[in-house]
Amino acid sequence: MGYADKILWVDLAKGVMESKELPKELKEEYLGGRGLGVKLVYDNGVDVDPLGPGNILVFAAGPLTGTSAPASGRFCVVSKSPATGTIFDSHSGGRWGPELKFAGFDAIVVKGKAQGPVYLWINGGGAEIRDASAVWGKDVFETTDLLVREVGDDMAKVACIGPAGEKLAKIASIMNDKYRAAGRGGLGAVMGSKNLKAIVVRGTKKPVIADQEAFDTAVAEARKMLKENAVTGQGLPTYGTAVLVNIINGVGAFPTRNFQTGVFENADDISGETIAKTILDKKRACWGCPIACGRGTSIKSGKYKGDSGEGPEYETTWSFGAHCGNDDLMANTRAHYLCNKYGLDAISAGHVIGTAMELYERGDISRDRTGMGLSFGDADAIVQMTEMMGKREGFGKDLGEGSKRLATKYGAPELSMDVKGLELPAYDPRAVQGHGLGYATSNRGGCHLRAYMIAPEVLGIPEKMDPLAIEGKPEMLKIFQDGFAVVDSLVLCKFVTFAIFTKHFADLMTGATGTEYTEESIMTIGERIYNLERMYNNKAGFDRKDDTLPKRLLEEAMPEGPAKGYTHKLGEMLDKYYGIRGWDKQGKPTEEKLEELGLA
Amino acid sequence: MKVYVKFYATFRDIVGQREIQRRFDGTVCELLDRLCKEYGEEFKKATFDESKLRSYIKILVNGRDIEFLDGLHTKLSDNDVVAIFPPVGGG
Repeated sequence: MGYADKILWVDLAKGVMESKELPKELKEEYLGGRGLGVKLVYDNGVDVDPLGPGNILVFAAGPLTGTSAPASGRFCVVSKSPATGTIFDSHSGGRWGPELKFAGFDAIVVKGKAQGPVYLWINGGGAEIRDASAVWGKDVFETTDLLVREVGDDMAKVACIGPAGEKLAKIASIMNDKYRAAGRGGLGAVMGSKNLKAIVVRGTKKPVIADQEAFDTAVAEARKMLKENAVTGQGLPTYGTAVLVNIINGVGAFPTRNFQTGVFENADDISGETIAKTILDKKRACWGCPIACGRGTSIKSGKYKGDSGEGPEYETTWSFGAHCGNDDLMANTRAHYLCNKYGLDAISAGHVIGTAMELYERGDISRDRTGMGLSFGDADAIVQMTEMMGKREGFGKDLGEGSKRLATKYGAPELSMDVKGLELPAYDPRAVQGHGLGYATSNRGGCHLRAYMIAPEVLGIPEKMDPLAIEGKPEMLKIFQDGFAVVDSLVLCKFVTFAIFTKHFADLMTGATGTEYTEESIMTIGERIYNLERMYNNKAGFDRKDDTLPKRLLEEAMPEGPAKGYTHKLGEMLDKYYGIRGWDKQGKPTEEKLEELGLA
Repeated sequence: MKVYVKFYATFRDIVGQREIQRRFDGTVCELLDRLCKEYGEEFKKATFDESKLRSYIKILVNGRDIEFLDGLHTKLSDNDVVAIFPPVGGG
């Protein structure tokens, strides 16, 4: 119960599909969503080329997807990442996830490579592989409209790649419902490598709930908590995610000009407050979400006047903004729209432009190479580079490889602000020490959503922790990492964790599935998932040497702001973190830990 | 002695300004009392739940959360920048 109890296995090389039962032990041990995908990708083995036919791509909903649980309109995609070489799960909202469940599947597993462009049409339990020649080369918006028309059902939901994914950009996203992105890790390129342009889903089967009364009680409690919580009930709905710009800048953690400092002098110009006053048209919510943090926007003046879409979010107003030394919100917004259009990870896309700008200013990249000036703050260049990245043209091709490969190619790898090949998001570790430990130890590389230590370190949730101190951070980080693995496996939006956590997750799962979950049992599953990811990465050659941060953040003191003089104190926290995890000095789970988690 | 006060999100809407400068000598608590008098009931309601700061309101003095200074009793110095945020979140 709660589950559709079916996985659709698709072999694109053979052109065959098979619907199989979702094994009971997978549900019990890994819940669904991220956990399910991680287990399937682990079982597929590490010795696969991320862009080769042997890699599998798992699209997974969770046991709570499409139920009345709040913020349950999501899904995740799990694979081996071409950006990082690690196991990787990428998540998205919108409406596609619930529709997959309504179509009768918990997950779709795609392997092999089709001979020519194809898409999957999954409709009410049936599935077919269709020719996608007509949409190959089209952008995300065109593809979505054309495929909805072709299947002849206005209620059909489309997840697809744009030209960036087709042309195997390592920062290509998978887009769904036009504006929502499974953005990180280049999983759009994995889709492109399989000649899989889109998956279109439609269904009407609502998930069956085991104990409706208990579930309704848990849902009502969760919704009440979300409504009463100041962040989920007021802050996020009113200003969206970009409301963070000023406070993160205020604490000196807003990475500026490729992490040269943590204070951007014009942060207010790209903030949620300014978005609300200039481009915001209306709030938008994902399926079943009471928070509605999405921003429907349009550009009302200047050279991009008339363009419209969704966003920018906090991360993208930063990546195209402060990270590139740019305070032109209209250019940020235009670049964000282009990422949606071409299917690019909007964090990595803006980030890598900032990397290129520092390389350009230092003289490592010449104007001959870029075709234009690329100094920090050049808003026109940011928009043009994003367009070129999306189309994989000219210097945009180098940019689409991501910051690590770009900086290495041009002889300055130390200028890439990445962890394990994934570009860092919008928080400078020197000013938020626990969050930095999270970046370093993340199983998918430089990521703020394996563990959101900004919650305790800046927002005071669940308790206030001094952002510049290291005491208690490894312990809190483990709780966040394991808890977020649970959230990603249910699958819910992480924003619910501002208001609800493990008790509510256990109650929701007990009601939905009829299996008794406790806070402890559900956190053990989260820990199991985190450790299985770590085992995959260890087998792929990742260990302590990779649990690190860019040299700049470890050695160059923050030059200004409240964190002035601070470097990141990774060395003082890493052993303690490993110890708390039950991992050895190389960052590998010990036999005892594996036995405890049933992974030996 | 003067201090600068920056307002964000809903506080900016209430006050109608991004930033003000005031001649002031005292603690954060005394500054907030003065701002409540100046900007009225709406500001007071947004800031305090009876005599306590509302949950998740953030007050930074020169970028440091007053929680890690002396809380509401933090004594302000000349040219200090006080930033006031309503509950915010994101990611």
